[in-house]
Amino acid sequence: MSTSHRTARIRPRHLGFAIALLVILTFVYQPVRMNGFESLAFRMLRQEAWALREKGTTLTRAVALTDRDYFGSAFTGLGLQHARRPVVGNRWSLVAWNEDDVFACCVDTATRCLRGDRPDLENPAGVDACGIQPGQDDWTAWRNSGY
Amino acid sequence: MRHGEDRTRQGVRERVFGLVLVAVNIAVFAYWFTAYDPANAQFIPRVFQTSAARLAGETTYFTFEPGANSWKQIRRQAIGERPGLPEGLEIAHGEEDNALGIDQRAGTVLLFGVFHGLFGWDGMAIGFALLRTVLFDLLLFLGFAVTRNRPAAIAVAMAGTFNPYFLSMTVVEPQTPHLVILLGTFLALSGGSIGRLRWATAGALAGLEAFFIHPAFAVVALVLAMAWAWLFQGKRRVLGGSPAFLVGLIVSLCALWAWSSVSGEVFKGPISRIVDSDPTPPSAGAEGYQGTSLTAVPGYCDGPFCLPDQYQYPLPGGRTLEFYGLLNWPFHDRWVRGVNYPLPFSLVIPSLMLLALGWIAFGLGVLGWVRPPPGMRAHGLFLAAWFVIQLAMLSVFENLDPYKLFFSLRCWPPLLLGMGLALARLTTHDTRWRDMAFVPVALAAAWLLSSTLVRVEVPEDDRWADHMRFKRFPAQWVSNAPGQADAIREVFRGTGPLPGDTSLFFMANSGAGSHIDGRPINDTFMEAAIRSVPEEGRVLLCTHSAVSASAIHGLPDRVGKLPIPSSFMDNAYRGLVDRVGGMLDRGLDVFVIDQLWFSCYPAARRYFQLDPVSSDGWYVVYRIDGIRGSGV
Repeated sequence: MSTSHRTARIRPRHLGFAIALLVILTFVYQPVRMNGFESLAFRMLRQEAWALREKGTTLTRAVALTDRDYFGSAFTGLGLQHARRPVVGNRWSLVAWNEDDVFACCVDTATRCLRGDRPDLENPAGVDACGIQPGQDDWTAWRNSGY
Repeated sequence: MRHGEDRTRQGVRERVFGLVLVAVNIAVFAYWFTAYDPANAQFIPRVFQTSAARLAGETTYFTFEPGANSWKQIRRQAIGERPGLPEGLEIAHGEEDNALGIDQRAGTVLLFGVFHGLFGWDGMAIGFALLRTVLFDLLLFLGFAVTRNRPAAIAVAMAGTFNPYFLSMTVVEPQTPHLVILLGTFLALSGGSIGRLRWATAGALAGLEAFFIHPAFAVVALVLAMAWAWLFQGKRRVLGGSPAFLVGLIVSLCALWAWSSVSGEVFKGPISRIVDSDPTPPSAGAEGYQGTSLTAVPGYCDGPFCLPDQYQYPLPGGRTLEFYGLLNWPFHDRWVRGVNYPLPFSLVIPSLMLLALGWIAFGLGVLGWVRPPPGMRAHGLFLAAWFVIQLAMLSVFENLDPYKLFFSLRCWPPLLLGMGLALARLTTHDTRWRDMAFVPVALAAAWLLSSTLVRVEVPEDDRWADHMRFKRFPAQWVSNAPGQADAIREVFRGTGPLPGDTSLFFMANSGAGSHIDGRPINDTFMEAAIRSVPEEGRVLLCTHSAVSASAIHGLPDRVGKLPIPSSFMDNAYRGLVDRVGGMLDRGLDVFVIDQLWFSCYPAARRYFQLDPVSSDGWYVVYRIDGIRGSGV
């Protein structure tokens, strides 16, 4: 009886273990958080751009639409220009092109990279694959980026 | 019989623990292996990667120089080496000053050179992941050695290697190897009575530190290691083990000396080169801000732009410290902040730690220093002193860029181990409610500290106003500085009980033109220049920074480009010489587009007796050989 009573009692060290567990789980979670949508989208776009470059495709111009200005640096590091414009909604896009090819990649919430073959840069519908449509804020940002 | 059963159970437990540890190690390694970022075009990874590759025998246009103690020595090395210098081309007088200079310690390069030699470019990812896995284990074992408490040890290892700041550092950098050596030294000196071999191993590791960090920091690490040994082994054992420790230390230092004899690596001056072995500037990160480029010398002038002479700092006793960079108080007459920072570096470091660890972990770390488990007061005080010493050594420097904040990682282990001590005190059978009452106090203190730090206002460093780079690039350094400082302060405002978003400080710098430099790549002029180059011509970009490296990558292939695997200046310099010479040999027309006036401009002018065809802002275009087509 008394043993059962002692077992049920919360002791300071139980709380201490809970704190330790909280700390451990907090940092177990960090890689997950760091690989959340935002980071995944960021990395995916960079990897796509990197892969293109590795294949010899030289992208002279590009616009990466993100809602974090400083992430744009990753793209400029690959020789791409960053739009430095915010987008509305949780969608990141990268549109890059040179004289012969256009590469478009939009990372949606499922972190898929949807590519457009050769969207007409003057025709917004050409980049439908990325869901960039006239009138949308991200499209406006793209156009305003001075591509 | 009972005793035998216990031993069997213990053996089973140890085997299970071993298997779990192996599985965790595989997972940790796999994480970091996949997280490694080969696309990072920033300065530091390029320095190490290209240097290591060159050491492993691969041709890169990056000159590996593990440091030199004077510009004269750099010059001698430059003249003496001349890898790939086309015949008939001589280094013009004075140009050798600009020839090269690498400011990293040899250790990391050597280490990754081995990985590159074994696995090629994949070796970078393997070495990167392996080192981080070892760091995880070291924190785990060291945490256990200090606390004798499993949850505390696991928390230390997790917080140390899976905090968002460390997670965002997905490139080869020198701090992880340094921490591995340092913590390895401490671990060798931990535990009960240790044998001569462990003493010697600890000594050898302590000596190896000098390969990885500046000798000033290595000496401090040595002193800390001895203090650590005193804590864990006691005076009698320390005296008994010292001979073996010294033997290991001497052997290690002899290896360093031997390497130095071969490579020219030497011990640097004491305080004027206190951070990580720069031959001249105070840190790898400062040169970009302060105009103290590695390839520039005091008083060097190019046209109207002159680098400043060394700054003079008065020292006690009427002496003067000449230092090629901006130092903060107490060397400066008042406490200031770099214009690109919201706070002095001494406050940026704890602010970053608060952000990356959160109030809980940070508060527990400090709590562990103040209220360690019974009988470990000396350990707590030692950890606090370790933190303060490292922080103080870094605090005199001003305006290290956010990328170089990783220097501050050497302040982290004492706080993490302090957290381990706090958790150990809170999770034993002797834990009292009174102990627990200090937890909210610690959290409140951490909250109060972070709330105060974001409100601190420190005047800007007015010495910048006279700085060459400041004047030369006002749009870059003046207009964007407040934005960067505000952005960092804003991020610090987001500090909370749990880890926050630290990606601004590292991941954001993974390419050129980051938030530090809001100036878009000036490709308008460059493209105009390229269009003017005849189809059969070639274009060389003389690069200095990742900014120009990115411009290289953006060039259309039809024009031709200089495929420099590094963004470092001496790389470009050698590349310039090599490639231009080769193109001239093949009778090609060569244009050079030069981005930095004080490197390639005099190079082109003095090598090839050229004047620029055109100059506009960042880019200067030269015609080098028989010209077809019009210039820009």
